[in-house]
Amino acid sequence: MSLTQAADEARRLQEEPEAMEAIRAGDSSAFETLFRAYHAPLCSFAYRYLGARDLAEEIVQEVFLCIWERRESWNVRTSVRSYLLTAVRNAALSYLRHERVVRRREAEVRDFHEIVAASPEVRALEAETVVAVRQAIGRLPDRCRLVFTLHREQGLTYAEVAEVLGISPRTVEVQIGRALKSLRKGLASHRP
Amino acid sequence: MNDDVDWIRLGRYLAGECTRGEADEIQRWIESDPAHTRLVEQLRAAWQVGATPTTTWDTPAAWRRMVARLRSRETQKGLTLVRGGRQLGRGPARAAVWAGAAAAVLLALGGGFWWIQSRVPSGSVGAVPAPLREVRAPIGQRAQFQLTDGTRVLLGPGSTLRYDTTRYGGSIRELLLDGQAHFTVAYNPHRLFLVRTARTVTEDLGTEFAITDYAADSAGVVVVASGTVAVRSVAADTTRPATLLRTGDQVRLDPAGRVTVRRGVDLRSSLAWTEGRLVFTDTPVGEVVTRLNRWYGADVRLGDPALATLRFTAAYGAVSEATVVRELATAVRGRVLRRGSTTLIVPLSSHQREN
Repeated sequence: MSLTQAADEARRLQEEPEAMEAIRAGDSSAFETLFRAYHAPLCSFAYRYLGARDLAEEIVQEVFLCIWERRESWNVRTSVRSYLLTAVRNAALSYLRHERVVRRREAEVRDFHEIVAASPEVRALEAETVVAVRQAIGRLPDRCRLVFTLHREQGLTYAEVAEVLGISPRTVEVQIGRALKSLRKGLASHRP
Repeated sequence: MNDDVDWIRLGRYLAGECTRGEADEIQRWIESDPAHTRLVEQLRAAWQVGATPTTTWDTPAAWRRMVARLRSRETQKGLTLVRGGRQLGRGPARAAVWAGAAAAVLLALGGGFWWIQSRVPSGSVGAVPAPLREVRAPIGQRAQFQLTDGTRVLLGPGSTLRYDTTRYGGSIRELLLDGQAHFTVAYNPHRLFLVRTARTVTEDLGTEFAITDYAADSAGVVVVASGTVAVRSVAADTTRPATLLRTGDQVRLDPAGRVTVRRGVDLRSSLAWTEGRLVFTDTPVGEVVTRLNRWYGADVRLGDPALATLRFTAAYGAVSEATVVRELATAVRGRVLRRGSTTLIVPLSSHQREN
């Protein structure tokens, strides 16, 4: 995480209790701020479970709707981010539990050509490398990929990842280790 | 080379989750061998790329949809009864004020006339009744038409659709349905599409689905032909999440708010009515008769109530009422009696009692 990102994160965490208090009191613009801040990452996360964009968006909408409907008693134990991710995960799993039809994963191939909001470090890499890494991430086993994505894309700490997924921090460590090993193998075979 | 690498520790190092001492140790390890340095360089690349989201999402459009849905739920809770311009019953519930236009309240009255009321932002209710456009398919017929946004509607027999022509196409495209309709919704992420019936509220982006909610039926049913919709029960508390349905999913909502979902239904059967076919699949005979009467504008009755719980399976294209009635009678071991415009299906054994 870069310095500015860390500073933003620290500021956001400091402001969280006030934001939550405002939402509990029915402040719709505080709710809007929350929505706009977390909508995209939550959709990406839901998409990892559901493999379909429209469904991912609907699930995230429902999570926010529920928060607003129950706002008077809304409370989070750790951070707003992990609360939201957990809520989305639960909603996605609940949906999947009832689904009998095998879900088709939308081809992640088309995403490879979008280098979205890339950091300077990533932009400096060759496009081929980025594609190779994306493909390697896509090939990780499900649980491993989830842990890796939650940590990297969503910016959760090991402890937060453990909380959201309901696993132990040790498992998180092990999965990240596995991810690195697989990714390295994937990269090694790509480079000449 | 891979064998002596402690991947877990490297992970902690890259994640910033290790102690100062550990970090120093790993740093020394990295510098001890150019192969190690190269490895960590590659891993950093993977680490960075992993942090980049791979999909874009239209958050502004999603927010507009969110506001539209929240407004529509508010109006459901803060109902004020109005009849002929006079306000009855309790006042409006306290509601959040959303940026933008004042919320509109759409009301349903048992007697069958409808008013729209605009709520002024200050919270006081001013009645500005506006008549609704009404489109009706009489019993025995279906009706097809298109709304201003390109949404196509097919109304089933004995069904009515109502909406406010001045507001339809605004931030919420809202319709009131009494009966049965199939919708092919014009896709528009900025304008939420919403259908209310006596028992259901269905919200949608742009997709193809059908709702059946006749007052005489025991429940409302929504089935999705393509796309995704969110369905809520009118009876249920709005803090419960809606049911999400996709292609081939069907939900049944009874007046108590109980929700039954079936996935992977036979769409050809569920939507047969849209193609002018009558399909019964293990349908209770009482329901068969109700649907027959709607479909043909007939007056078929069961001479013996016990017949109502028997089951009937058949599929018809363009056939006459007489054919269906005859085959139904045969299936329940009954016979057909005509009394003026009424058709009676009676059990064979009642022959002696007839005078």
